Amino acid sequence: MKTWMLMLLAVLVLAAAGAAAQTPAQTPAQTTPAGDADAGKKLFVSLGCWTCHGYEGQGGAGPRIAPRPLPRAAFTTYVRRPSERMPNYPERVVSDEQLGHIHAYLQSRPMPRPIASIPLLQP
Amino acid sequence: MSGKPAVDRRSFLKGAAVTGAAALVPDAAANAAPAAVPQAAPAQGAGPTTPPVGVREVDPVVEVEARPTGRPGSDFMLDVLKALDIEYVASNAGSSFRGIHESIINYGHNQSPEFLTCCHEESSVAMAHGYYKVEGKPMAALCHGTVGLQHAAMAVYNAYCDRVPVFILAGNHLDASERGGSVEWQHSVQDAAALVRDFVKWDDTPASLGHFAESAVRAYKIAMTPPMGPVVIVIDAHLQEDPIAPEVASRLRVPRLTVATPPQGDSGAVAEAARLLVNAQNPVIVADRAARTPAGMSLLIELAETLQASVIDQRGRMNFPSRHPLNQSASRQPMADADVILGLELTSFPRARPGVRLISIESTALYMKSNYQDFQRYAEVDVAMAADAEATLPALIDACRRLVTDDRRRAFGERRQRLEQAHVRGLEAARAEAAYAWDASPISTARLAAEVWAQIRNEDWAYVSESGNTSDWVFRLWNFTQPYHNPGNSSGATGVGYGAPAGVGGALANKKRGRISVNIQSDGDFLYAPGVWWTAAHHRIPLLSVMHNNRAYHQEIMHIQRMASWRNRDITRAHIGTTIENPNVDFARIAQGMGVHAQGPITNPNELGPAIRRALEVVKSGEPSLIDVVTQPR
Repeated sequence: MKTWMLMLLAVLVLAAAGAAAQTPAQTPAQTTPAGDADAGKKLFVSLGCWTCHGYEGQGGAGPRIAPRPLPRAAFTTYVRRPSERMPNYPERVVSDEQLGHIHAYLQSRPMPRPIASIPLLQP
Repeated sequence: MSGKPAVDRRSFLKGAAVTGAAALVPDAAANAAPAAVPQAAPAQGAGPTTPPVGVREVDPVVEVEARPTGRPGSDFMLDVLKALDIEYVASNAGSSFRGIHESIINYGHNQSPEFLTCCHEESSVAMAHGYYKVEGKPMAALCHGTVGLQHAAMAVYNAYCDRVPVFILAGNHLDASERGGSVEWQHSVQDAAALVRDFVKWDDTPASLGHFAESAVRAYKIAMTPPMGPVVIVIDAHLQEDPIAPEVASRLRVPRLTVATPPQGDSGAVAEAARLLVNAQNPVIVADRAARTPAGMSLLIELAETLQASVIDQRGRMNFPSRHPLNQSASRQPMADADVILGLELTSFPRARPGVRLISIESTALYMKSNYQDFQRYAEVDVAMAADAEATLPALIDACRRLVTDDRRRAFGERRQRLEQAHVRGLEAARAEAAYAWDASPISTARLAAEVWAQIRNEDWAYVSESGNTSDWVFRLWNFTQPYHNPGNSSGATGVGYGAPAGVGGALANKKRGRISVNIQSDGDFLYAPGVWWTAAHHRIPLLSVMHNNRAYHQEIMHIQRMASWRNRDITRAHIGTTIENPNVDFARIAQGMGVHAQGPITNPNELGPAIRRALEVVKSGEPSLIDVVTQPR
């Protein structure tokens, strides 16, 4: 794939991630996870995803990726060829099936409570 | 000055030196002792009548026979420190400065300066660093010129990079013919300050008390002139301990101190900067170590409101209120839109699009060294003022005001409205973001910041130190309004180990003001020189420390992950050498063992608020308190 195509893909994926990150949904996660969330949680820790994204995928050094991760295909594509700051995770390190488990784990994370219900977050 | 006959250190050490040397060889010592120390007697209350086998340093027990009489030189040195209004001397005790140590506690009655007992010289200097950033005047740090200064070096470099004055006194035995046992040799050096000369602003090795007085006052003045920095005065043991000869005493005086006024930017450059700023469509003010005094924040508000310009606070000092509508620090948009950027005392000028006009006001341009590379990448700016930013702001504000026309005023009003809306959106977004993982365990850093804020927001508080990285949640959720609310971050040399001692030093300065000092304490920083917690307990320094314990040198994990990724190697092994687990450190027990009230480890977020309330009560009673909180990575 040409460099410009990769860059375009990265921009589109990041834009999607950014849009998701700025819209805290107040409804439960959408569909039944395709993978095994428990297995995904173990992989999320052992592979070190938590270091940048937090144990709940809430973000930190990296962006928030839960409870609404990118769609599965885009998620896999991004993990294989991330932007420059994120290390890439080739299939040798994590299979597509394992990525499905991680995706399921991220989807299984609870939605945040409404801000109005959290006194400490009032202005 | 006493009129008693003086016996100087040179005379009485001769006997001691022989004894010390003899002590290296037990048989020889046994044979030589009666002759070498014919009238040796134990010091009052001291134990053995003969030197213990294996003693290698000149032992005060055998050294007390011949006492120097008359007023010692170190008493005059203390007079100089008092004249400089040095409030504290932080130190881990050492024989090369025992003279001035004794003068501080007896001649000076341990008041102004008071001797702060430290357990590591890095703690001494970092405490002085944190103290200055609250108090606005230097603390002294007293250490061996050799092993002490070596321990202190990292903290000295940090203070240098952060442009903070620390007044360092380093003990030494320069005269080889008068040195005692082997340790006195190991603790002696030709040129003590050479070790840190690359990252102190000035140093000297006075050869007389008059020389000391002049150099101490000069050092203070240099340290306090922007760009500020640490200074070192080497104090020879003989100079401290020998009695002051009458003919010298009559000549001794402390020179008058007049701190230099900081330099203001050239009037032509100020006018050009004003022209660029007033005519800009999207000017951005970036401030790092700009607010040198409490007045600095008011001046920056005045400039920003004159222009209705975005302000990016890099927080080297408390430059700008966190919830001022023009504070756009959390947004990348202002820099993306900027056509003119004004940099005030920046560590490094931000990268800007081609064509953006850059204005720099920085005192560091007046004083720079070669070896250590903290001066950062060369900035290609359009207007470069080698001047103090705070001192230049009044002239710049005036110059801008003179250029503002009605048209520009209307444009400024529209810009203000746009920036206010962006600021409000940013605050709302931060609160929304904080809700994610709110109930998680380990505890989220957003929850950590919010829980602390809830307990201190109605107190007179100051965020004196932070270590580690909590994703800026403190600055996103707390309302910083006063110059003392944050003395500035630790972005000196960004070395680990600054946070805890700087927090203790800052809290010491706040103690007399009855202010609640708060410290977010990382685990890695805690472990560098944890004896500082004992110092906090011993000196009853009220400091609320809440830990961000992610059980790792977290940033380093990410570095190793990236290396493994680039090299197509196993990324899952990045925890090796980077985590602080197996066993988990029980920080609360360590602190308790040092005499500090401590709680934790806390992993349930619902237990955090009550724990902070309990800790706050302890702090209000005048004692330090620590809460170990197991947190998310960032």
